[in-house]
Amino acid sequence: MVEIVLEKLTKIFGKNVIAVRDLDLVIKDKEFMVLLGPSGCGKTTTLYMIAGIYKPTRGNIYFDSKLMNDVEPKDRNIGMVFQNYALYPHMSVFDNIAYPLKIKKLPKQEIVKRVRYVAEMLKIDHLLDRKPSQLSGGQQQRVALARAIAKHPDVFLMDEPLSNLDAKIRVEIRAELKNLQKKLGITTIYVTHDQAEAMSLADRVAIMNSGSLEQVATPEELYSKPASLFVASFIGSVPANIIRVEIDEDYKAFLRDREIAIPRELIEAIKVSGSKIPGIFYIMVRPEDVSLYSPGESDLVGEVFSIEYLGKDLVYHIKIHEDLTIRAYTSRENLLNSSKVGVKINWKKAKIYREDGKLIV
Amino acid sequence: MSLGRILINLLAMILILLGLSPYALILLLAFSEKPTSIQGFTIDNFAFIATGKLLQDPRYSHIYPNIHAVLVNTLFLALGVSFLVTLLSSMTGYALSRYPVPGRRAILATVLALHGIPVIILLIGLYFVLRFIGLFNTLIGVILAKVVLDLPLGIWIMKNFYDNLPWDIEIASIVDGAGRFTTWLRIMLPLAKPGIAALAVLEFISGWGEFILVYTLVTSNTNWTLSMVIRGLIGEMGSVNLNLLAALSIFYLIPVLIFFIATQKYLLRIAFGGVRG
Repeated sequence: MVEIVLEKLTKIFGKNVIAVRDLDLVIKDKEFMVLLGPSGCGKTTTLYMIAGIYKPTRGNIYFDSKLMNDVEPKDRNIGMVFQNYALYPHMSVFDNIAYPLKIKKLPKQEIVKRVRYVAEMLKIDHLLDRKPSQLSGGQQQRVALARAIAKHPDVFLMDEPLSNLDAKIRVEIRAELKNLQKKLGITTIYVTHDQAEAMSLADRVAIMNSGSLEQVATPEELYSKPASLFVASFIGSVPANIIRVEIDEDYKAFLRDREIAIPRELIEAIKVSGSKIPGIFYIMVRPEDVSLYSPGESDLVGEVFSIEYLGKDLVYHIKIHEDLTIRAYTSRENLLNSSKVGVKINWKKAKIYREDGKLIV
Repeated sequence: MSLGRILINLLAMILILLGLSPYALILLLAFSEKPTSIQGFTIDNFAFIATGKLLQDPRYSHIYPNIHAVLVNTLFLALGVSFLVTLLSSMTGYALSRYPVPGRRAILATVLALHGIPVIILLIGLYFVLRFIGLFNTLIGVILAKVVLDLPLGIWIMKNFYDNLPWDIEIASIVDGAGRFTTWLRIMLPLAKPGIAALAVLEFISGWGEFILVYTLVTSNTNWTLSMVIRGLIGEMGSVNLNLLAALSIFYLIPVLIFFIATQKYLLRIAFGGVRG
């Protein structure tokens, strides 16, 4: 039940490995915040700094306005769940869950009560006498969760806890986790590299890349208004289309020397933003905002490179020229027979980015 | 089987017999009736186990210390060495494995180098040190000396053992609220049990068989260990009691054999350096 504030948080390993760079982030009380990003982006390092396992090189960490930089992990009242569970192999499930409570020197009756309650909540109460090696992956995961919950911590920190599980169990436990967090109302910070997981679990997502924060927003906003090309291409199960265009002094757009029509509003936005003209810009449009027509009906014509069947829907990969393949997401009724198609962009949903990747409109 | 295989097997058997022959001789001698040759069968030579007197003849029995007392001394030495080396190594090994102590690499290199120093070189130094502290001619002094000499190996073994234990369990324990010491005691130590057990056995055997340190640092025979009694029997008083000597040697040997056979699988694990399960 704590609000966490990260202020210019920086971690440098050795002389020059900058793992986290000037991170500013507020995690609200009771919020489910997901730290998302590719491997090596600094999300786990950030998590470990919040836990107190790593000391920040620079910057501050506050729990409810209290400065925590020098507070030991054991005094931060956090519950942590690790990617490979980190259960104590020589102890029974009961003892594993009871361990933090024994350390806190709670009375025996209270310990038994809490362990049983949490075990029941997570449906592992019939496993209390077993050792971790006798449990399945999903069961071990629940024990790890139970151990974190039994402490009644102020904060949950989770480091890719579901990545070692089968896909099917993962989806199940995901739903349980979300539900549990809402019920317990404990501030949670969850690290993952799986964007689908982040989108389904989070109240807000903080996307990180190479140690820096790219954007922090609700999943909805992240999807529809990505602040940078990195975010746009990272989020979305079917990757977004990124089209490189050159805009000349007359504000005409060229895709590889062929002029394409861009709506006036976008041109105005570019003018207003004061970006350098002539220059290179990127158009981002999601596959579901691309529609297919016969070749004569549109500017952009290409060849059907391949078709992905996703059950109810299809993804067309259309090769416009050798550097550009556009993905179009459409339902199965629109199956086309010809190999050459025309592509139309729903400009209302498209976004334009500058050469350095920042959003203009 | 081909001729070659038969010959090799024959050769192997001959070598084994050659290697075993001293032990066979001692065994036969121990039960012999005559002091210098193997004749007959008697268990009289083992009388000292019951009576505690090495020489049963009352005219000579007071020359040697009571065997029971000597046995206790030997046990004291072996257990003392085993306990101290194990205790100190399990802690030091952990610290060297987990803590970024400045100069850690230097310490480790020194530890390894110390291990290679032969005991003989240090004897004179040890003599003076123990005299200075006032522990000369005591078993405690011998224990301390032996511990110091065996520590490098112990620390090295334990450190490597700890290196192979996953660290995320430790982190989980620290996050759960345990300090470093509690984590070591409740989590790491139980996980390191095989290594510790093996080290304890190794050190017991090492202490049990210690001769040269006792010989140099202990003068009064009330503080003798079994190794000293054996030495004392050789060439004393002009008479040679080979059968008694043999009996004593067998008696000295038995505990080690039992221990070794009982804990063989632990020792092999250490030898191959791995920690699995």
